[in-house]
Amino acid sequence: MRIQRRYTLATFLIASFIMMPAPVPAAGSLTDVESEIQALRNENERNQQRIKELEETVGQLKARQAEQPKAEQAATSGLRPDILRRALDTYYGEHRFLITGYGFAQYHWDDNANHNTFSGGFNPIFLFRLNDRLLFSGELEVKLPEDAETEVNLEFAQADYLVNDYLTVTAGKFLLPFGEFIERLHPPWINKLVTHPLPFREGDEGGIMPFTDLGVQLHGGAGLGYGLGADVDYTAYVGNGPRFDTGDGDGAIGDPLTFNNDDLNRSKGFGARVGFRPLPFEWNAGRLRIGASTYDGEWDAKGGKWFTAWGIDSVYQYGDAELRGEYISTRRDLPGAVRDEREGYYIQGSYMLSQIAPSPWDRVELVARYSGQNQRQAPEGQLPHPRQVSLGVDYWITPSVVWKLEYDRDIPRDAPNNHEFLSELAVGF
Amino acid sequence: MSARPIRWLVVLLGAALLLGASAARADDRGDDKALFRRGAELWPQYCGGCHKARPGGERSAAEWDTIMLHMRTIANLPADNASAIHAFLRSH
Repeated sequence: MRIQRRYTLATFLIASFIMMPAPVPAAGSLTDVESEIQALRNENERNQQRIKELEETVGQLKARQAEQPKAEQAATSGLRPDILRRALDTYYGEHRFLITGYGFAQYHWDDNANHNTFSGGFNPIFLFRLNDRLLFSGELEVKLPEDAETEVNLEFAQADYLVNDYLTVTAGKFLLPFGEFIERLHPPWINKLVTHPLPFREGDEGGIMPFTDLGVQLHGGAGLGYGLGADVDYTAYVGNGPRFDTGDGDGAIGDPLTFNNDDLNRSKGFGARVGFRPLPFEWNAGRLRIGASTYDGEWDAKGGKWFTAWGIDSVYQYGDAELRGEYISTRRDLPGAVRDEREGYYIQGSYMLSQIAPSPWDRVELVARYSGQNQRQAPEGQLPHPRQVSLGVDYWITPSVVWKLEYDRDIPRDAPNNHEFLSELAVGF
Repeated sequence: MSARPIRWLVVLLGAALLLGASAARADDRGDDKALFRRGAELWPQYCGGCHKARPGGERSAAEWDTIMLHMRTIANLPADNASAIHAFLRSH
């Protein structure tokens, strides 16, 4: 009974708690809630409006974006490629003035001469293209003489005017267009050996041809008419002519060449060169060039004594193999019945391993050259009958950056043999 | 004065001037694509005749305008061939 009474009491208490009415908020709190609800409604309306505006903006942007390619296409439809190219050129600059050229660092060891030295040089070439027909070009040779400060020489300075497709007029100081080595092959990034062939050493080093002249050239090139790649090139020029350092005398066998910047006599020197490439590409027979050159002029101050030179040159290229050579013969009248006669030659073969060796050895080129020179008497410090076998290994880092190793075996006819070792890093830029 | 060199010169100068005088700048050098293809064929042959052929990407188109003028004069390239090589190099 007591337990039943307790349950009844507990049930009553729980029912009373559940049925008890909730507390009624105060009048002030209710107003706040209503205000808050109204504020939220207002904010919601603003957001809805903002979303609507944003949707309209997005719609407009999408429509504009869709129209843009059509507008661009319409704007560029009339733009010709040449106009576009010109516009891009203008953007990048016209580069009418351009500095190019080459530099090199060299090591030379010469057994007999007890010579063991580093050297270097830098030859900037300045080009200024006034228009598509007129070009001015000049090269400075910055070099280190054996025992003096830096020396700067003017290698060439010339103006070229293209008269028409077949004729160019060049005036100024130019590289002598005699054979190929002087004008086209001597820069270190082109020459495949460190040294020059014996007859093409500079005049003061024992070579037998001047490297430059001052005057006017007429030159050009034309197709031979029976296939692409078969053509002829021709040059004729007049200049100050050759000059020799005769000391205090009137001239003797073996006088070294020197510069004739201010013509020493009243007459001029003349020269010409013609070269043929007879094999058109369609024959697939490789590339062959055969050339002939002449250079003549009175060399003495009084006039009447002639220097005459002629030469032939040839190069044959097939794939990665190349064989080239040149021959020069010179004759100089001297007082009395004596003549100063000189001749020189070289033959050079090279083979690039690009097709037969894996990388990185495919950049290696092997070079061999034999060169010689004959004269009755040589300038002081030179030999009259030098002969040289040169073997070289080139590593082409890029088409204009090469590291060369060269071994020379000097085998002159009338002096002891000699060994030389050279290395050079040459950069064309 | 020896006549031999003068004779040489007269012959060569005459040949050059005759060619020059008869020259009219060729108008039929083809369109850009044909010029490009021809330049691509000539580029390794002519440039590689003296030195390793340098790629067109080494320089801007405007720089090639100046370089090719220099190369044409120093190597005596036929004008049509020089134009084709020029077009090929400056297109890179």
